[in-house]
Amino acid sequence: MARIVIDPVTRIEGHLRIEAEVKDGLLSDAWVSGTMFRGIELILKDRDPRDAWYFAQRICSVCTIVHALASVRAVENALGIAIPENAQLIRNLMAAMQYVHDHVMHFYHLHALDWVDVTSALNADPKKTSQLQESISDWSKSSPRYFGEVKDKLKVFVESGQLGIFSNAYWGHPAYKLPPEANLLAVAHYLEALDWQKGVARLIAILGGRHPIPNFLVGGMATSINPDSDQAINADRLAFMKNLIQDAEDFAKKVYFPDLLAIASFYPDWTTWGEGLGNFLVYGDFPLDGSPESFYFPSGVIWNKKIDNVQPFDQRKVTEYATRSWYAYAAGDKKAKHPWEGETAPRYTGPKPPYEHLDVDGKYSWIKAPRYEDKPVEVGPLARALVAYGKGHKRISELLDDSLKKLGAGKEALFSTLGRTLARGVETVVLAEGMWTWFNKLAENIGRGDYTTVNREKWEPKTWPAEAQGFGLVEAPRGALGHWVKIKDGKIQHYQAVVPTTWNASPRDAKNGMGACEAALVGTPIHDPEKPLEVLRTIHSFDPCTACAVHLFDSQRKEIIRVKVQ
Amino acid sequence: MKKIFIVGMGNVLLQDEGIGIHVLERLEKEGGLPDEVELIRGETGGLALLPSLDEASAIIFVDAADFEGTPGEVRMYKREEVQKARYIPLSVHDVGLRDLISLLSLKSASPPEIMVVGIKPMRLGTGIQISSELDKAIPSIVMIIRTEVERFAMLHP
Repeated sequence: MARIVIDPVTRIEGHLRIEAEVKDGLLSDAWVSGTMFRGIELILKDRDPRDAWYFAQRICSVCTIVHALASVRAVENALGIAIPENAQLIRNLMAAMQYVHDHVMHFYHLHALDWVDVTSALNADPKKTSQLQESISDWSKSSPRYFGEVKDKLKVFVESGQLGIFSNAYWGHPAYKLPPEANLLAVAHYLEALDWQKGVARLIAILGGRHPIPNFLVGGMATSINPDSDQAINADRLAFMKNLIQDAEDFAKKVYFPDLLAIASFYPDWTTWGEGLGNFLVYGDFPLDGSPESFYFPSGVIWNKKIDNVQPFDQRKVTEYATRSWYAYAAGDKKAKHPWEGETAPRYTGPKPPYEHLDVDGKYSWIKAPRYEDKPVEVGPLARALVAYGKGHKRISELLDDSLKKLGAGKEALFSTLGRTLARGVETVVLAEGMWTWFNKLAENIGRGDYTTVNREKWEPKTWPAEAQGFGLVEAPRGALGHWVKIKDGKIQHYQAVVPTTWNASPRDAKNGMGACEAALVGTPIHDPEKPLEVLRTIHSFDPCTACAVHLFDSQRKEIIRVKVQ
Repeated sequence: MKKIFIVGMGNVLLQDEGIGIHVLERLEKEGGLPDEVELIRGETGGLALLPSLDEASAIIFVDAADFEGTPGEVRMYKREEVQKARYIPLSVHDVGLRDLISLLSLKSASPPEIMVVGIKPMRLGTGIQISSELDKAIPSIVMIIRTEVERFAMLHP
């Protein structure tokens, strides 16, 4: 039996480590561990609730918009503040733009490299690549000359010996199945996406005042609307925003989504591997009027893959275990706690680094184990797509059905690594389209002379009750995100955040139930234990936003190889 | 003179990890930089930062860096050194500064000149205060950056 260890995943939201066992060519068991304690929640204690978003948005620097959003929503919920419609529309537009941006960048710059062999692109025929491009969409950049230039550029880059971003992958691995032309196409779009994201930055900067860390405000948005000012949203800026949204939609529909389907068609096995728990949770988001009934992405819970039986969601049923995590609950670690009662008391009992293995039979992670109705669930794009499908969301169902048909697969294929990747593409298209609803409504309001973006009725702490508690729920690109706050005498008394990666990369709980990533790894065939590309495919399908170092151990638990992968 | 961007990197909630931002704020406060210099709060921006760097002829990243040395010590890295660093030693928060720099050269035929001003941190725990060791080092770090800007201005009038 070989043991695969992936450590560390060294990106901003903390470090992730994966230990997995291989038996008879299959992953037989897996443990996912967060190896870094952050405790940023502790910084929030005693602060002014109106400032919380500023700190919260630095919890994860990739998801600055959604953390700030969860924070202002939690405070607004606690204090009973209703925000103006314009603020709701602006928040929807910003969050949607972050989705489109995140998903496109995740696909090309992290996940695609699990499927696309960059070095093989050097053998591509630009003419055939052009034909391939024209067969999948009417994207304008499709000439043989264009692909020839991309190939030349790549050649110079590779020959300079500074592969940089491409230096840590398993190029040439037999699990790469794409023809050289498809690889070149993906590399071209990898580069195009880098320039394309400029528009995203501009839209977020217009709406949020700056980028990449925009401004938020309890009670609405700080964005000012004034047709007579150059410094505010005016007619010119609205026209400009329209172009930016159009660019985002075009790229999602003419480049990203067609590429995803084209690449997926070469990997039919991956519609059968990486299934995971079969339990899914969605908080729901993108309200039109502030009520859960108006969510563009509906909320709900699915148990045991029963898409046709979506259960209602209730935040009171969210709890977190610390049984297998490096925390101590005052009343003992066997019982899970709701985030309003949650505790962040670090108690490291793991081995002293550097170590070979974690004590996976005991506590092994800095990530707590969130559970819904005491059971592990998966959150994120696949959960959202399935709940929407089950609830009859017209556009999402149409895109899922159409994609499955193109891939020649049934609904069962959605419960897989590629299912997750497909769902991410589908929601990108749906949100890019959805932005028009919010943009048009905003433009219409402005046209009527409604420039209100903030409700200041309860801005002053003297208008607040002595004690209040609230929750702010957001569907972040990576999944269900919740902030829970308790306010006392105008200050934050208690703050807890349960982030999407906590759900998906959760360790085991008191009943030994696996987290979503752990469950998804089990049963996957590994072609070459020294190059566990398959592990990365499934882990990246959850988009944990990470770079990993892979160490491979043989049965004597001796390190045999060390590779860094993205 | 061509455009120079000074980009402060780091997370201000993790004590000395946010040194790049603290240095940037000091530069902002003191002022006196040529008009061609733009100060950018990179924070932990990663790839999302890329669009903001398009017009630069030179970029000075200011960031916490892990190397053998004493807290507050400064080490300068050129592009080649950054790209050669295969694995972590460069930036402790690892937002992919190396990836960012690598992508700048893949994207453009004439990528900007790159300099990373790396500062050895003292403490990286949760908290918004930087250590007194690093606080004391800020004036000399600012001086190093100003000298870098002057050097570039002379080379690219």
